[in-house]
Amino acid sequence: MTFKLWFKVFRKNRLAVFGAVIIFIFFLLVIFGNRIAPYDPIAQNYSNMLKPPSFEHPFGTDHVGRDILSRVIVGAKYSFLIGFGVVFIEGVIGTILGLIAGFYGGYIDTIIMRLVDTMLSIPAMVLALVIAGTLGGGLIPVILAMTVISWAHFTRLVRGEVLSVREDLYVESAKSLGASNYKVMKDHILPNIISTTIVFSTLEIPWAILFSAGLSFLGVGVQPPAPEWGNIIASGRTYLTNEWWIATFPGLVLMVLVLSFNFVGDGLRDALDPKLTRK
Amino acid sequence: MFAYLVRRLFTMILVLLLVTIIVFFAMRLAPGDPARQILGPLASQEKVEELRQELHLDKSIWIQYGIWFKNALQGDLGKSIASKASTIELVQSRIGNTLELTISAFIITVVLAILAGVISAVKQYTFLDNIVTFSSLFWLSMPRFWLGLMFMLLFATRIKWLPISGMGGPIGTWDNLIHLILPALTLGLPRMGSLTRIVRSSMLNVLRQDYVTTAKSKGLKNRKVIFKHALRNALNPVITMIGLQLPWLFGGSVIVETVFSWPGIGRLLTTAIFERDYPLIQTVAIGYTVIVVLANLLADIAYAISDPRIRLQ
Repeated sequence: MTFKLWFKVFRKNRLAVFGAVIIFIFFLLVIFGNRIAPYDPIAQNYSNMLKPPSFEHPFGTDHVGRDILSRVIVGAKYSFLIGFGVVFIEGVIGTILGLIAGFYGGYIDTIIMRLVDTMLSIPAMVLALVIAGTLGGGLIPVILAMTVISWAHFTRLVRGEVLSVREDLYVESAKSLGASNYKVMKDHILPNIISTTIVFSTLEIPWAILFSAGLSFLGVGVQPPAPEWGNIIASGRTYLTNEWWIATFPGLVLMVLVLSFNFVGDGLRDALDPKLTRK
Repeated sequence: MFAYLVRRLFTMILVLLLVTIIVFFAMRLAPGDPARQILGPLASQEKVEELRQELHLDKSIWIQYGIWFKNALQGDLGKSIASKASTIELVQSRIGNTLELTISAFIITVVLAILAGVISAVKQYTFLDNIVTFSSLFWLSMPRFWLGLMFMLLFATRIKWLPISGMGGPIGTWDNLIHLILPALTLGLPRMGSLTRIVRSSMLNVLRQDYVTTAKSKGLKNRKVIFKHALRNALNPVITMIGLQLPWLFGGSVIVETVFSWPGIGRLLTTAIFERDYPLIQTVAIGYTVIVVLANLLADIAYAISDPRIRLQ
């Protein structure tokens, strides 16, 4: 399918276009967040504690007087960093392993796929919590923990795709012309499975964003005072009864971002690859 | 059937082995000396050395794992560092609470997903179908911990219909069931999204089949055609999907138990992690893995029952 054609299909899906616009706005927040934020997201101001939403502080202030809106704006970068970072690493590992398993078959395939099945039947949140938690929390432990639990998603997908194109004529002819295995995988198989991989990545990013926020909420993610959204929501838990705004607004923003990614992922899937389903 | 069970058992052992190895290495890679962390900064160096020997921390990591594994085979998973109680007993005393929560959430997910999926398939491309499609994406995008807090805010603190947290009383009592509602909904609803889509596409597939047309032309009532002839056949891919989702459901219980102070093994795990209670962390991880593997086994059996063409091989 040409780029023009799928762009036409994508553009017709109004929710997908809407989602793309929202994600673009969040991108601007990631890049210019520090300059856009009206207040300092970290500095404490005890004369301004637990103020309800107002014109000066649309999302209110928290228990040490920080502006929630500013914290949400500056915190967008953590979700993007982890979401894109994890899916990128997972994608690279999964593509390599999936290509190897699908292309060579035999016992290599059996070993890799046994490992994949095993990983998929482990409760991911439990394993990620243990890995990130015992390593003391923070950006790197979270990315590491999420990579450990997610590489299998991608591997399974890529392997399936490889199997479906492996017997195609163009692969056959490349092989009979004497192309090396590496060249066949890189120049003939990879380009033909790339669109499915892209669609899967867009559906995997919202998962990663939600999951990492969950880890932060449990206290093993990016550590406070960093304005990570899961952190802000966790800190608002204590004040839920009276100061409801601390937990409510960051969660709402998180949900809108994840929803936007899902809209886009769905639109891309319909445009590029109708046979994909999500987990 | 026998070959199937042997293979299943093999996979189960592999899963458990992998989990214990990953957890074990993560714990040993953790910064700082566990013995020092357990005793605190004020303990003497001798005491720390003593504990290091007791925990076998002075040996290489593979030998440590070997010692742990040997004891585990004999049914000894160690004592909790914080409470000195046997970790197996701690997990046993709470695993029922986690099962109550996850099974209730599971029922909510499956029932609502089948209803919503069937409705949107039967009324394809109508307003109702659009609502279901949108709402399944909506639930898919829901941060579970935040949903729990919003439920609390609404139903427990604003309109005081439901209790805010805890589990009320022993499993099955009225007070307990009242306490169960919010956590079970928080755990179950977000998982509904992906399942609804599977039900919908599977139903759409089946509704085009000849036997549905035959059933309709026989003059059967619409409801009977949908639920007896179509749904029955549409369920197979749904059951496979449910099997794949189980690990996620159990994983989600960690978050929900933390939000609602539900005294299950998920809360035990979060507490153990912050107390660096390594033996307990390991045992809870095993507990979770065992339930998930058993649940997957049940899903496989259900699949074979629901589709007689499938024989467990």
